[in-house]
Amino acid sequence: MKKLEVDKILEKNGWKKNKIVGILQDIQDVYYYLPEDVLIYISEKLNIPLSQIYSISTFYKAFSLKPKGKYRIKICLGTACHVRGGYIISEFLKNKLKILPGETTKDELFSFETVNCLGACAIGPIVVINEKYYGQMDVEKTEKLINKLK
Amino acid sequence: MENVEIIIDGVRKVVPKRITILKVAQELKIEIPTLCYHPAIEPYGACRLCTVEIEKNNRKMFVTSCNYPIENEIKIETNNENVIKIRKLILELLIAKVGYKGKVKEIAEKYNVEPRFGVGDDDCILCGLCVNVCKEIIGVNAISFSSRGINRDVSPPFGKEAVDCIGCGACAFLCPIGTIKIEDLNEKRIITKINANLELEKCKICGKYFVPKKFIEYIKNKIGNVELDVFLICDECKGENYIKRLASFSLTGGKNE
Ligand code: SF4
Ligand code: FES
Ligand code: FES
Repeated sequence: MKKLEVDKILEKNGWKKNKIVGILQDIQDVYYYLPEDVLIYISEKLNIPLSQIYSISTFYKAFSLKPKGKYRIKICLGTACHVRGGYIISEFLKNKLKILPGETTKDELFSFETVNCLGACAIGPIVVINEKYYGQMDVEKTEKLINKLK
Repeated sequence: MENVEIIIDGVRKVVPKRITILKVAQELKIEIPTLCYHPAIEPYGACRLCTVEIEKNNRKMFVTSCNYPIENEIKIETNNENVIKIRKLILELLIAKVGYKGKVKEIAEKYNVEPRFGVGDDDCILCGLCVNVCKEIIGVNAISFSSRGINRDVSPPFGKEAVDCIGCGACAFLCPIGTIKIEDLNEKRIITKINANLELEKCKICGKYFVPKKFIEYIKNKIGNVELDVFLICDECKGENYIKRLASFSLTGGKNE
C-alpha cells in the first residue's frame, strides 16, 4: 500500500468520517478495488470501526474487495441491452474467460462484471473495457476484441 | 409531557405522545411477538413480526409496533385476523430461511404455522440484535452486516476474524435463534458465527480461566485507574466469597463455623 497516495485521498476528502463513501470511491478509482490493508489504514486514521467500512464496501455493487484484472470488462444487462443480446455476450464471456461476473482470471488479465444500464441504450448492447465504450456489440465482435487484448 | 388518546384493542387509553405502540401494549400486558426488539436497543424494525393494524384519519394500515411512535389519536388492533395472517406469513418465510430454531420455533408453534415454503437451514434471520448491541451498548462495533439482498449476512470484517471483539458475549446472549455460541476451551474463548478468538485470564482465587483479557483491557480503558481485582474473580468464587463474608457477619448468633 502506498500510504502517500491514500493520505492524498484522505486529504482531498478533508479527513472526514462522513466522506467515507467518496473516499472508498477514490480508492477504487486508484486500485480498481478496495485493498484490505488500505481499508484497515483508513479505519485507523479516521477512527471508523473496520466492521462498518467492511459493511459499506460490501453493500455497494460498485465496490469490489477482489483485485480486478488488467482489462476490466463491463457488460450492460440493462433492459435495452439485455433484450438486444447483452445476456448472450455475458454468457459467452463466462465460458471464454472461465470466470463468473465479479471474478478475475488467474493470470489477472481479465475481470468482468455486469451492470444495469449505462445510460446509452441507443447503441446497445454495450461492452465497456477499461472505461472505453463499445456499442452495438455481439459475441463475434466481443471475441475479436478479447483476442486482441490477450 | 403532551398526551394523546388512543383506542387499543377496543380500550380507550391516554398515553404520552411519541411512545411506541409496543411499549403501550406491553404496559397493558397485551402480547405482541417480537424477534428483533430489545428494550435496551434502539428499535430496528427488521423482523416485522410485531406488525399491528392501525386506523388513522379513517385509513387503515399496517405498521411495526416496536418503532411506531404514537403522534395522534389512532385506533390500534394488535391481534385481529389481518394481523395474524401477516404474522403467519412472516413466520412461514422465516422458517423457509432458518427452519425451526430458538425463538422462531417458539413463536411459530404458538401461531400454528405450517412450513408452507419449506424448511430452510440458514443460520441468521438478520434481526440485527448482535450487530446493534455491539454498536450501541458495548461500543465495540466488532461485527456488521455484509452485502445485501439474498447475500446479506452478519459477519466479522472481511469475513475473517472479529479482530476488535472483546469477547463480552452480548451478541451470543441476544441471538434469538442461538446461532452465536460462546465456547470456552481452557485459555481460549471462541465465539461462533462472528469468528472471535480470545485469550482468557485466570480467576485470582480458583485459577480457572474465565474472562477474556481484551475485555479487562477494555474496561480498564473505560473506567481508568480503578482497582480491577474484582473483575478477575470468577462468578462462582465471587458467590462463595460473598457467602463466607455473610456468614462471618452472621446475625443469627454465630451458629456458623
Ligand atoms: S446472528 Fe443471531 S442475533 Fe445476529 S442478526 Fe443473526 S439471528 Fe440476529
Ligand atoms: S440498457 Fe444498456 S445502456 Fe441502457
Ligand atoms: S420487533 Fe418490531 S420489527 Fe422486529
